[in-house]
Amino acid sequence: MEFAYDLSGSSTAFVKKYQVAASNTVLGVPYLQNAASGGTGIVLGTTTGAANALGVNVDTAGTYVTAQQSDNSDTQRLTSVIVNPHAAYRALLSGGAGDGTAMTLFTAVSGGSDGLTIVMDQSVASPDLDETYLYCLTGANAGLRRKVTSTSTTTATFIVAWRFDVAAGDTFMGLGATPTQTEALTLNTSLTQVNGSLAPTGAAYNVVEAIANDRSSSYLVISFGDHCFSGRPT
Amino acid sequence: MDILIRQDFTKDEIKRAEIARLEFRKNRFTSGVSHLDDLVTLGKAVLLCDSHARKFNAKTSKYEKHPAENLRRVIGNCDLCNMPGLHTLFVNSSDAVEHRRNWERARTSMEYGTIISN
Repeated sequence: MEFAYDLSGSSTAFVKKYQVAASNTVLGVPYLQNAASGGTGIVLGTTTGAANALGVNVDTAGTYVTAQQSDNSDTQRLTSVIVNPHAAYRALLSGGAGDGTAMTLFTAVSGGSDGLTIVMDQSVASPDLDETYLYCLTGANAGLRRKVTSTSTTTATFIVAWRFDVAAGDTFMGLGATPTQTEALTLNTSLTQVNGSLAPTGAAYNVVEAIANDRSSSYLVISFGDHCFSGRPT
Repeated sequence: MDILIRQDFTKDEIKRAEIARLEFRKNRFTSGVSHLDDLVTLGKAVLLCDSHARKFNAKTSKYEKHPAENLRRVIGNCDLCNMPGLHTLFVNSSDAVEHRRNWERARTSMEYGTIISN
């Protein structure tokens, strides 16, 4: 994930260097405060854990070492982290745990004449798309989105109707979240993207907005739901 | 005139001399340049105030300004003089490749995508 902007109104990132207690060679991953007794530095987040988050790195820490080095080189490993408590990060939506997996394609089998229901070619209830947004990729509603308010097997139901009737063959993708809500999101294995193939589950992130483009280049703009500098430590 | 250099250093003397040479502790008689050199050697991101950014030869050090427009100027402490403020963020060229790819992909997506804010 990458720094998008700061919700305090400034677009400027605040970068600090911190000692780490974990090896890392990946850019754009969340780091967390290490409150453990004997904790020697900040640690990496996990796919479903971001409590007491610190920020996202802009360089890599390398290999974490604790033993004195034979060449007397420094054992301290630093990494530069964007620490704005209200930073919003742009995270690519991945359709699985791997990087850059295309989001699941839903094809309409039939749509009601009132724009309030769509029957899809596959289940929208497992994983559940309820309370998340559905984005129309092709068809009369292409480029429009509506929030799913209930699901039942392959049928998605909406309160705000689609602008045009949905026809068989129209395609859609889920966005896995509703902007403005604090969602439980799961990151993918590399911790740089959001796994959009799951019903909301995982760590607390505030979803600021979504950028819907296509199945391989859509983003969620998220901020940490529990930041260690936000004045509400848990 | 011949310059005589002692040749019979012991192993311990050589080791002590190497450690003394490698070790850097900032004091009034040294500068932050050694600290900056360490960061550059390790490929870390480097934050420099305006006056030091002008003197930093990024190309020679295989560094460049952060490719993302919103991360070229960031707040932090200058890695050379430690002064806090709005500074320039340089990243190692190897990291810059990925930063640039992410930034270009996001910029394209934002240009053609639909912003959904509830």
